[in-house]
Amino acid sequence: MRPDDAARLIGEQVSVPWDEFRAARGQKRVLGGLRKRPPQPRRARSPLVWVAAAAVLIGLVGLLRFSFRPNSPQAGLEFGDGSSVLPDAHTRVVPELVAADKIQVRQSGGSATYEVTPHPHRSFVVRVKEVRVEVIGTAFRIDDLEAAVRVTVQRGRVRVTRGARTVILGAGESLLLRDRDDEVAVHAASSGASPLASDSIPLLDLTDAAATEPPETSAAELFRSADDARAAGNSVEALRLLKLLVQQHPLDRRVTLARFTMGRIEAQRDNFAEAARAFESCGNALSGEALAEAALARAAAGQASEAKAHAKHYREQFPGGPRYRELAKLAE
Amino acid sequence: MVVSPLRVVGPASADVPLVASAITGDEQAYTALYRRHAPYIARLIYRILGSDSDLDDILQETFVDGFRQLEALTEHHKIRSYLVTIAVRRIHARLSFRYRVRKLGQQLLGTSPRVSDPELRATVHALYAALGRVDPRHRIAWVLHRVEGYTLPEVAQQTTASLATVKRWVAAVDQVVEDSNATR
Repeated sequence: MRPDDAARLIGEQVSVPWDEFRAARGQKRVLGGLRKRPPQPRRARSPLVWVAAAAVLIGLVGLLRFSFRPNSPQAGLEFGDGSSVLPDAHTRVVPELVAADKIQVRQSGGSATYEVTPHPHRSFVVRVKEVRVEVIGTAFRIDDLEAAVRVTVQRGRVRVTRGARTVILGAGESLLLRDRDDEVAVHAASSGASPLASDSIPLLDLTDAAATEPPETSAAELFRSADDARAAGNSVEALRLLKLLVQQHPLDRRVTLARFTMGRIEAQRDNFAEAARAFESCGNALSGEALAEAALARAAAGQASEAKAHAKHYREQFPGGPRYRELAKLAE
Repeated sequence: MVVSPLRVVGPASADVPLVASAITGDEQAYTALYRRHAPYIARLIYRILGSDSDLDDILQETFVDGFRQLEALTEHHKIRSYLVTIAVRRIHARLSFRYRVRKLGQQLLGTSPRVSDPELRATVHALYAALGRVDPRHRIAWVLHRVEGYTLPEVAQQTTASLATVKRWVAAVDQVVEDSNATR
């Protein structure tokens, strides 16, 4: 047999037995593997090792018994347009409305991953507690936590609404909405104040930010608080916290992501020049993604020459980059 | 609900923020990256091994190793290629073990990939029997280049061999396939 024919035969005929069950099992194994400590160099075994081994064995027996409980998790849902939902064990996802122009489901407890087929004339809505997530075409995950709801976008964009407040999330972004914020949201709405009015408050500079935050706040906590602020529609507070993170923890690994997020928030507020400055402060980080965003932000700010310079720089630095084609016109 | 391994999962640019978040230890980002790339990596492993037995282990090891060393990945949009390189190392270790075992007992080497068309099952199995007789590194390079369509320089990078060596490996397997009794 000719090698080309053999390769074609394998390509056409050999397909991996892969399904959602296997994917979910693999995902669990990978996350479990990551939670374990990396393997250490082998040392001489002490008697304690045997004690630990016995404990692990007992634990495994318990785990096996737990795994074979009769309550099986809900199977995945698949809709006629190809959209699908994969709930984790102990998660309920119930379709409330399935029509040509709208699909609406309610999720309660646990987590579920959504793959939504893009459709211009059909909206896809997920309701979790008081949170409403509206999608055009994307993949995302919702975790209904004990006292919060987390929305994580894998691809595309979603609009997350609670009460009168709305936040748009892009790919790779995550939002944590704590239940206790409900009271604040309801109060703001009933008092007649615009929930997004705080967006018009001028930015605090870094000095003010440092003065109001104790210096011992960790970078992780600041990042989380900034997330919360975004969820509450308070982009000014989110920016302040992210600036504080950059100032107080300049060597932390989250700094670049914080600067990038500041750029995203500023762009959402139509402050394109500020957004560009934030993206530019990331340099060539994130495989040039920040540079590409800086070019687009400068263009949106009407600063054509800077936009062109960034676009050209990106195309020189990342000739195989994913934004190469998108920036072609700007670079001309 | 069966997910096609060939499903297009979005542009590579979508990986960039996910990788950045995964470097900070974000489990959601790990999950998203796994969901995007596991079907492809699984298919690759399966086609090289020709069997299902070690697939789950290699897949797990690939992603755990890959995620633990993510900080070393300088071009975030190239994560798929990065995972392929790790998977290749893992597959090589397994195949080398099988290759040694073969000398002790032929029965342990049996491969039986799932074949879509039952009429072609015997041909595909004969093909994998022939591939089972070649050096594991040659087999990996051949599948990456001939079946998965990677260029020879890409295969050289993934197998950490020189371009000339990879060309020699692929040519050697071409010869074995031509000489095999697999006929369509």
